[in-house]
Amino acid sequence: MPDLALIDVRKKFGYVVALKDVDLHVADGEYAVVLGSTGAGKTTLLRVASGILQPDAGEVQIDGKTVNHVPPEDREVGYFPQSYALFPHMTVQENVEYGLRARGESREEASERVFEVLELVGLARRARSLPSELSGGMQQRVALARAIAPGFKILLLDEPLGALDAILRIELRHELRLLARRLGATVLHVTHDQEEALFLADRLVVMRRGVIEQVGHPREVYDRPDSIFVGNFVGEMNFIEGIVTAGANGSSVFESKGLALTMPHGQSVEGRQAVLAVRPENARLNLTDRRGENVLRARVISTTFSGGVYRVRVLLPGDRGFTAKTPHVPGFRAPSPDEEIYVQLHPSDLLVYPYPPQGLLKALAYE
Amino acid sequence: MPEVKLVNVTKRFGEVQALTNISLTIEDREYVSVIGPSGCGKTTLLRIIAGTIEPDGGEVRVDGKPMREVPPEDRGIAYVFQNLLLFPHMNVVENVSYGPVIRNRGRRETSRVVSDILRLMDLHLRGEASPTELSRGMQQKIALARSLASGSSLLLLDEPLSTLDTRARYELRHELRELVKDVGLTAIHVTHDQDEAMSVADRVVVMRKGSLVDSGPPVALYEQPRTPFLARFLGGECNFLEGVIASSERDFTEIAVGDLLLQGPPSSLKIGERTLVAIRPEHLTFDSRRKVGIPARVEDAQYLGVFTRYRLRTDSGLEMIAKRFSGEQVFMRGDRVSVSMDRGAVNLFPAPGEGVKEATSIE
Repeated sequence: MPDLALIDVRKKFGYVVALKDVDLHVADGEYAVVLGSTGAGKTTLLRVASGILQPDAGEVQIDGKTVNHVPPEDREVGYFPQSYALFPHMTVQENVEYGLRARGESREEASERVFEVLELVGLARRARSLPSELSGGMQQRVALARAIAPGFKILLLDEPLGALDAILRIELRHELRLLARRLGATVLHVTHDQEEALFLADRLVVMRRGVIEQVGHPREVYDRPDSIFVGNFVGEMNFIEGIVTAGANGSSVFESKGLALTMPHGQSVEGRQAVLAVRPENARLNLTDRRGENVLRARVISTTFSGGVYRVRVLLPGDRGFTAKTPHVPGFRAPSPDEEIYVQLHPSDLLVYPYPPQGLLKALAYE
Repeated sequence: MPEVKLVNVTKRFGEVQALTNISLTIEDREYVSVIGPSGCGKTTLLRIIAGTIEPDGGEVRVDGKPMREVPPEDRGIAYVFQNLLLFPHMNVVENVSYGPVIRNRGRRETSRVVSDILRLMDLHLRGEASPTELSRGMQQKIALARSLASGSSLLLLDEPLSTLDTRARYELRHELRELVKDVGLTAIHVTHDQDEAMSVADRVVVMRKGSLVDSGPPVALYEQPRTPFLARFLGGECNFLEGVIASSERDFTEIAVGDLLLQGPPSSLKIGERTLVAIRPEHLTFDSRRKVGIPARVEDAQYLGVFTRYRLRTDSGLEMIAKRFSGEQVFMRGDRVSVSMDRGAVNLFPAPGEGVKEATSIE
């Protein structure tokens, strides 16, 4: 049963702490994705897991056994480095075969295995092509085939879709998910792409500056972020500063210049400086109707459109910039600049956090 | 008041026809994004406007003036590259001043221009910082500030955000658009990212294999793709179904797709003619109660944050991808649903002679 665990792993490069007491367990057959920006320590984490780097402290365990002193080639993990390089003078088949032959497999054994994995990544027919004859997406698939060819059940993938155009990334991530399932692999995948992480992960790990900020199912992390940092980093988020006071009937009210919003039950940081967080897609736009709870008047600043979604920037009372998102449906009329509309913030969509002592901007910084 | 006009521009590199007869006008103060698969010629196009590559044929005009004899540095263009090129030993102010200094403006004038730009871009508190102390997103903003400090009002952007992390890229693209609009620049922005192209620009120009295939406002291109390629290329995923026109009425068309009968908008296609139907995943609606609609089962549900993506299998065996806003009712794998769509969401194309795969190929 291949599972992978990092226990209290620490790694420093000179003065820079790349990993601070990182604890992470990837269960057998689980697809874990580490999401973080440049410099968060993602690649270091993978290199420590693969054995290329030794941690300063802590343990790496595979199947419950400590492998700190096992060299990379004996750890039985497939590693896909961020800058993979295919040998330009070798065919697709030879590129994939290379790793197997280096491990001492006979030509016959290797070639059978190569065709199996090329079949899996949909490139069996291109076995005799040179890398230069293939598109970027195909080359990426060859590199992936090379990483999975030895048949190891643990895969470490460092930005495996990183070098591709946006649209190919989306297509290949579907393939990657199916492939991991078919192989029954235990995967640790690192990326800076939020949507890719949400899409692929059984378990999402959010990292910043060498520290794991939150671990959970993607939906849980996205809907109930532990901190304003996580909320802002895994998706877009609006923040409003204010205070929470007691309302009627045991409810609480969030107050800020020019607005008062009824809060959901159970979220109380009463009397204290607080930050209200709302996802843009949870703000309901209404062009004319002002009835209902927590309805605010808003003036439209701009409307942009992409990927099936309108992103509407508005000014809420108190001259507060706010972003709302609404799906594209045929015949929808997007609001125009300077139009007066209404925005409803449903209590159950409101999250409230204590005001961060270091200030909002510092609390949200992701590099 | 820069207006850029390309007239029948062609360019060859050896055997490769990089650009074929490109004609395009970019209005004063217009923000145009140019998008296409790798190798479609979009960067070559930008370099020809900048003057770093000469076209083999055709002409570039800026404000009506032919540019053939004008060297790049005299074209009044600010060019922002993919890679950050800041001087690490200079602070932010010195980096941004570099452009005007080499243009021999006075010290006082330079300092005024630079501080105006830094303020405009919300960088004025970081003037003394060294680029290495700043995030990569900030560094790219400084590179942008430097190119604007030259005073040009024509901005060429070559994948300006592509080396940044997704999150920073997302934030910066909205800032970029605001900046261009606030200052009143004319901007041409080359990118491989569809969402970026659509959210920054007034008009999106789509290129493929050295030719211009379409251009228009983002929503128009998205709502009414003229070809199957455009349906797939702008908007990400798309459902393609092969069918035959079953009836053609004045205000709707019926299309037989296997055992299913779909309704689409009026079309010039004739009864019996083969057609390719394109439907965007976010335009499929489905629920578990209604009796009307196409019976199907949810095979997979994946949470993507704003959207949840569903893979549906109709009882007749077709696979369809649907995307719903995550705030709506959530369905699980195995749920029975009935699928429907607005007529306006159905795009009809003549069956492509080269086959569906080739017609929608994005490489």
